[in-house]
Amino acid sequence: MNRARNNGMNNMNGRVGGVTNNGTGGRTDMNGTNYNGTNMNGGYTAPNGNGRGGRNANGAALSGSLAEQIRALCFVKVELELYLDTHPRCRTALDYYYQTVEELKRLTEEYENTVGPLTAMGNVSTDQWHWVDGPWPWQQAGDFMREGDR
Amino acid sequence: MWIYQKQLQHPVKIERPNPRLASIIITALGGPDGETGAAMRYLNQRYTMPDGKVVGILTDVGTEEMGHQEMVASIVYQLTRNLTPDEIIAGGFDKYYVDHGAGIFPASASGMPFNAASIASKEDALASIHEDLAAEQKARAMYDNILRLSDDPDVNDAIKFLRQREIVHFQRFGEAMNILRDKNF
Repeated sequence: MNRARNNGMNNMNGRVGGVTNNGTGGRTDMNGTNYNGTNMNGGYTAPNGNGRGGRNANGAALSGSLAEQIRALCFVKVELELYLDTHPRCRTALDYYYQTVEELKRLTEEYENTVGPLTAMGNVSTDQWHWVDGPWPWQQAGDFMREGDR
Repeated sequence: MWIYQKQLQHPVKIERPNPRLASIIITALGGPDGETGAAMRYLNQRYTMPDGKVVGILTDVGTEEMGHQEMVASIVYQLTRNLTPDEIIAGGFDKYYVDHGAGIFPASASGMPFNAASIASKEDALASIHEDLAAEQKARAMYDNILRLSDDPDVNDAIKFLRQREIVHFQRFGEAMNILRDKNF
């Protein structure tokens, strides 16, 4: 069974190995979660690659489609927001946050001008309300769609 | 006020329908440790929380949990597409189907509709944050159980992402606890 499709996350290796419960639920699952610590060692960089414009806060090119680049940056944004809530004076995180937001704004504008609105306010067309156009996030193209989604 | 973004936090692309898996994973939406309870717990705890940083983490984690509700619902939606009656019965999805069809309804795997009794919210700040730390661990354990029962790599990719977020939230709530202790709560 292929249970180990890599999703790029930490703390997943060796999880749930077949029918045994070895390695699940123990202390080793909690790596990096000692809440007295401040794990801010640059672990939030999005994947590098041959993206067509998106950059992470280290200046490296983001990989994937425009939507995937936006998703990656949104994840960085959310992660930094949670971190800053409990570390509001962390200079490194603040700098990282504003670089991320700036890049996200740029990519969002590109997406909304070429693909469609990401939020209702991002409906840039003056003659049509594209906000209601599919696909919605749970609808996948082609084989993934139900009859009614088309 | 909230603003909706037309994008899942992490991709959900399930290639193969699987009604049996759907009837298990619905608990991550409406079960005792599911995402609906998580969002309701944190967002309702905010009002009497005595520190802005803790209000902030409850707001932002609660908001993220709403995004996780959407991810779990998307998994169930895609797992139950285009099913035949035979497949519904063979997959044990019939008891859900008879009430809801393939519509998304927040319930536990055993069929109990979402129940707010599975969450807690108190004016006492320490009691609420302890509840939240426990909730993140219980949700993580629930996702561990799903991973034990699922061998679908598409499903597991999304479930592993959700499981990892429980760990990060636990970390942040732990820091919130320390903030409250520093203020002698």
